[in-house]
Amino acid sequence: MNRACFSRLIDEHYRPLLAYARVLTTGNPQQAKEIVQDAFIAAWQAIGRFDVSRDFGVWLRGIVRNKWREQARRHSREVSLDEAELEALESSIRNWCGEEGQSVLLEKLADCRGKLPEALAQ
Amino acid sequence: MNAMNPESTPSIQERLIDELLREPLFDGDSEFVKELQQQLDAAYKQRRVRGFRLIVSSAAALLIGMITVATWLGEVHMSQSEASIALNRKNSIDALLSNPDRTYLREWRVPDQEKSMSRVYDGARNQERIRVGALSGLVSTDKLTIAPVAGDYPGNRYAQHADPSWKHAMLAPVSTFSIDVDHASYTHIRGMLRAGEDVPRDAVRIEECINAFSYDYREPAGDAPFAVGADVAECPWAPGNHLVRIAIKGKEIDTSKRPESNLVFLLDVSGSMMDPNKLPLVQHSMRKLAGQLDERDRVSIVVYAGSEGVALPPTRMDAAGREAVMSALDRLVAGGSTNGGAGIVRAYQLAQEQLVPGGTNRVILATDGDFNVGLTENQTLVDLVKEKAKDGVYLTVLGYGMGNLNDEMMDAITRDGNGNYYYIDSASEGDRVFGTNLAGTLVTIAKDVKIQVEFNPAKVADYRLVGYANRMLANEDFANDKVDAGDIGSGHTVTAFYEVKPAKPESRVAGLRYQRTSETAEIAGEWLGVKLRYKAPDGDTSRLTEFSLEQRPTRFAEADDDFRFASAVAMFGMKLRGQDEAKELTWERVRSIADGASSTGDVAQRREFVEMLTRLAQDEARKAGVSTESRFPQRDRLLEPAEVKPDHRPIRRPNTEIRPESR
Repeated sequence: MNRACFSRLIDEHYRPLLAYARVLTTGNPQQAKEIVQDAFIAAWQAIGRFDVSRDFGVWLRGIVRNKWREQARRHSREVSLDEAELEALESSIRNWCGEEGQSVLLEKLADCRGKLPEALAQ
Repeated sequence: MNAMNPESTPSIQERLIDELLREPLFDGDSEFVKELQQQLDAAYKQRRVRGFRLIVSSAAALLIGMITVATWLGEVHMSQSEASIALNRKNSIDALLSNPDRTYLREWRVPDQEKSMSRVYDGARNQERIRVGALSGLVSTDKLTIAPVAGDYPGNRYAQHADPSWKHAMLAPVSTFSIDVDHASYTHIRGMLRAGEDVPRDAVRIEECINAFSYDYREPAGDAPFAVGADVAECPWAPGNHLVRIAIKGKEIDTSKRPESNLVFLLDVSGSMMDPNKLPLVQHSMRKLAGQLDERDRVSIVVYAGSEGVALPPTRMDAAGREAVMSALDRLVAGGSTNGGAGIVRAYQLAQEQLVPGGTNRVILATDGDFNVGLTENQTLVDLVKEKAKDGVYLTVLGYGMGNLNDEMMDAITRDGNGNYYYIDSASEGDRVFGTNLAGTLVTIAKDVKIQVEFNPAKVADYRLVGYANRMLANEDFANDKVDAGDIGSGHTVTAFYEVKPAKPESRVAGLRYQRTSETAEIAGEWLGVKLRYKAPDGDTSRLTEFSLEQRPTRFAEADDDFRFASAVAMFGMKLRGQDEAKELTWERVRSIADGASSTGDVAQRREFVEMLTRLAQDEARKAGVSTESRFPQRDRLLEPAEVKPDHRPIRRPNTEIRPESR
């Protein structure tokens, strides 16, 4: 694993991951950004523990969730989503992102947006 | 809904979509990555120190692991060495990759895309998994044995299997494998060769090539579900070696006497099926099948794309029913993504509702390969199919088209799951599977057929099984009725070859205490003993058949047509798999053997194979250029003097070689 490889992984994953973090932090972009950056650094440091047969995105989201809980704890904020909602979020992001990478994801989302009610499709 | 957030009316999914589509992400989108890179650079410096420690510790772990594995293999099972290197994946990726020939982790880039395919051998579950995804970058490419994917079909997925290696008859006298009557691999290769493509090594299952052809083996006598025999001739590719053939012929069941059937067509109509060589071909094969059915049979059609649905409820195949099937087939249109998981569940449910006890209950799945949504892991599907097979519903998988073919999954779900797998590359192949071979396709006459061969070290020095790379069984699983194996259908023929190095009498050690049995006079001349276990289609306990082979090896040129033709097909497979044993073989030689043996059996099919070889031989000659030709003019002929005059071949003796002797 070298830096170049990891950079590719970052490019592939950072957008969905940021979106995910923003849902978690209920629209606090600055906090979401910090969490994702921390998560990537944690991932880089712990890359040896990543099980290559698993999906990298799933692993990263796990790290993001941990960072998010940690931050909430540190700031004595209550975590704003319960486990069931987290699971629903995880399963929908997994459905959309799967292992197909970002480009496919965005195409699919563009499709989805077409189907959304006006109010949401901004 | 969330108590903390009463004002958030949109669902969590909608919020996610909203966030994902935000453009730009935020003010400093490009800044984000830059910042992150800087933070990583700082972290990188720390990691180099830690990384060094990691390498040292993982190297130690690897060493211990390898010693343990080696000891274990040595004691327990020499023959399992290729199949079960117990690797602890979590140890370290470096450890996995340090032995690139043995490692089961492969990653390569799909051409022109920043995507990769990787295979991971999961030692704990003894299975391989494949993922396609972003370049994980977890493996630095310079360390890898890059396994090339066929350039134009980056989406085809094949399982990798090591070829059975040479075994010493004294150290590992027993060899066990499951039969395989499928021939999808051959049809698939044929399609690629026709299209002028390179054939990826992993697409080639030699036994499926051999078994794609019908051979004129002796019919079983009486009530026996199949006849089995063995014979030996000189090995056409290695002078001095012998080739042992084990031949099985399933009982022919007259189509008019086949039992009632309950068939569920499960048809993939996802967008990728739109190609002319997919859905239209599916419709063609299904029409062909429906046309062969009659009042005894019932058909339902389930289609799946983004969602699954019943296109035709269970319908009896009288004239009106056939009409209904035809019009349901005509209405099919391709579109949408693939939800094969839900489809297969629905199809099995229908099959079960309509179950005909003692009849043929089968789900016939036609797809180009991918089950994207729902049950995606191969293992889950395999489990489902196995479980349903226990209830009496079997599976037939029909593979179509190129580019997205998940050969691995289709082979895996039919391998042990009481199913068969066909690859349909043309209308004529569809006609063959559902026309002439319909009974074989539908009627299973024996299941879990396992073969165990014990070699006599007095006669055999070394041996290797040709093909059956993913059908090898542990020797102890032979008698274990819980371990699944392949099925045999009506009229199917199965051929297995062992290449054998005969023992040299002068190198034998006399007076061995524990090898004495092989020296007793009455069995001293035997090459090997064959044991075969099988279950009745509805049975749970296996039956055993045994016989032994004692025969002077026939000269290759005098072996029967089937023997010579099948060995030409074996050579074809060996060459495509790049086996060392086939290095010296030229396509021209394979062609000439096949050519000389193509006037029996299904002549049209054999001639087609010979023509394919002719093209390969021409390509080879063109590549080699004329210079090689003139330097080694005699090379091919020297290998096989008996082949110089093909007219000299004696008339084929009728089946004298195949002699089952049940004991």
